[in-house]
Amino acid sequence: MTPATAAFKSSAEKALADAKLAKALAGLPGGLVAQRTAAKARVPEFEALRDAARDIRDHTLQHLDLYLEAFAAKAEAAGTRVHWAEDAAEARTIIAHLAVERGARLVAKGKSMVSEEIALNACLESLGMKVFESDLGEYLLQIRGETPSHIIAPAIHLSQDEVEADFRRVHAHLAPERGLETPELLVAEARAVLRERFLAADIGITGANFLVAETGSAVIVTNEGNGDLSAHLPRTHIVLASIDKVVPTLADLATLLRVLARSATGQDMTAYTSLLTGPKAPGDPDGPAECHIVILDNGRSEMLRSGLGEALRCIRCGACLNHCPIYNAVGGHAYGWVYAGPIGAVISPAFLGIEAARDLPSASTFCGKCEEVCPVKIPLTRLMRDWRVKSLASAAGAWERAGLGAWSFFARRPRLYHLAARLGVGATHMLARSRGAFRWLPFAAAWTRGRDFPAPQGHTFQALWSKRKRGAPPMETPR
Amino acid sequence: MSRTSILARVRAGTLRTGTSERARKRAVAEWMAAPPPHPRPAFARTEAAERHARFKACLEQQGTAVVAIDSLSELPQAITVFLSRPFGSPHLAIGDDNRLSTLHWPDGFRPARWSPGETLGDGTAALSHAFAGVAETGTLVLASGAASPASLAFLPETHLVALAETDIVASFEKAFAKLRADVGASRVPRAVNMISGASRTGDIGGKIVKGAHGPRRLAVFIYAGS
Repeated sequence: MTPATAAFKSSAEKALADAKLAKALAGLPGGLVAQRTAAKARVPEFEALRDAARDIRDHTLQHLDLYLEAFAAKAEAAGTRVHWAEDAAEARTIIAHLAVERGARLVAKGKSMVSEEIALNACLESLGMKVFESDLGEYLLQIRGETPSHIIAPAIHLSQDEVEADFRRVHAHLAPERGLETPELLVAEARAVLRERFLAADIGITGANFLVAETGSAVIVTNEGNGDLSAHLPRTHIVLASIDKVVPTLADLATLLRVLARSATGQDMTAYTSLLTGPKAPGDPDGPAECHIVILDNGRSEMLRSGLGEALRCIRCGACLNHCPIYNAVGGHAYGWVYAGPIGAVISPAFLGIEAARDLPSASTFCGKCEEVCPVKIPLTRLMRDWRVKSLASAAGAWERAGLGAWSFFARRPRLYHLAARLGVGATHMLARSRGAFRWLPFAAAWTRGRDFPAPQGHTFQALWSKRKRGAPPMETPR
Repeated sequence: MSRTSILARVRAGTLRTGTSERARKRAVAEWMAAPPPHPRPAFARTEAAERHARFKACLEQQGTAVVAIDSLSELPQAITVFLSRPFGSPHLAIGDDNRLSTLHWPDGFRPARWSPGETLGDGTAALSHAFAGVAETGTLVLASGAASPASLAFLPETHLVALAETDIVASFEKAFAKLRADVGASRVPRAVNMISGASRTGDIGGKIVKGAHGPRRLAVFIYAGS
């Protein structure tokens, strides 16, 4: 997808005015948030599990080159072909070649954020292939030409009525008078339509939640089974996974699984967790004849090098989005790219450059709830703050630098500061003397559009404080 | 080549002062051989009766049907009862599993060997024998192979799973250890499917609906003995 991260401010403003979106997002606190809280409450050891999960991720990232080599060796021994891609373009080329060589016409996709990251569908479609998203949420987005607005609930912004209208429009071969008024009927229709395509697909492409170095397995976690049907049915299975997905052993996987679903949906486990190792072996009745894994870097090794390594701990549960007051207000699309919410604010600037995504790290109140719920304890607020520092130092930060420079000039000269404050407070008090508030202020139109700006009452806090210390009665507000 | 340059950059990013290449390799070898013992919740350390109770409670919480039988020989009868009420006698597919095919099946419920390419789908059922059951989350572990094609867990509308009570283990770790012991460390089965409930989605209006792509119904038949 084409990044629109630079337009965050205007997109967020539009999102705030969108009543339909607000209604969809209003379901979050009572839904995913409450479910996570309940799931956590059932696990007294949850904090210890988060610490262990963080330690596993840190250990792996500190030895990532060695674990990647170990994983690749094991996967190849199991008959998987391992490909390495520096960036999005190389990953697209590798997958496109594999698909073209095999004469693929229909491609089944399991849910994969990394495939969104590299804009894979558009590439395959430009080569004349039909690609269908099989995660129900992703399918809804595909038929609407939209992008995901949440990591694990990509179509969270859509209402049931919109889905019904889309199905009537897109599934035109079905009887127009059919009933579609319940989620059950809509799911049944999607199931039937997509099942036919699964059975006809030449290639299945999925992401991976984890890559296990011990066994060379790709691990796919879903509730629908979309990843499994994409992996088991077509003749060729291609896994697209980024370098940070590696875990050393099955024992480490066990710990990560204990925090993943609980943090994501509040389930103890999702319906399907599948360890897929190599293609169909002799004697196997089913499975793909060939299996490929494309390991993608796309800037992640640079993140390790530039002090953003902690962000690579992420296991994509989406909890930081669900608990973020900003995400709850503006939804995922305003962030303008694949990854939304606090984790998106941290990693999008690394992928796209801070100039293109400089507003994202500022899209936070720093309330810290994201860190509090992160299953691998990523210091999200600190990482956002680091980006703010970089953003300020960049060319685009010139005005902010000048403003902060002026402030710091006064802040380091207390007498001057007090004098300026006294003058400012006195002047604004005079200007607003009749109403005690402003209907409009320069540079503060965003505030005064919705409400008055209260005017200072004539004296600075410092002045009132020293007067009070001298034992004098509180000053009369000059009128 | 991309592999070389990616690994070189990763290495540059991970190298810390004072850690030699040798020390890093040793740390990885040690972790791979025996990772540090991670904390395991109390509910993942259950024994005997408590373990079985936890397993059943978790299955029921997911909405999975649980049927307890005294021995594997009672399975055909139990399946007949389970299937006939709501579904009549649907097509019932199994893998190449003698434990299941040699049981005494009543007419109309005799399972048919699944052949690759058979699409099953709505109105059909399939029966698998689970490799293990994990008590901590009510998870069934299926190991793919001739006796247990992975497709059986995803293509039918109703998925039935037979499980020996003795194969119920406390934790994921125990299930993985059993996999290593039974199948061997050298080759894991192509697909190890950990199943915790029927297929579901919350993507339409946030309401959970079963049967998104995989089975709408999941039932477990736990038999005593081994």
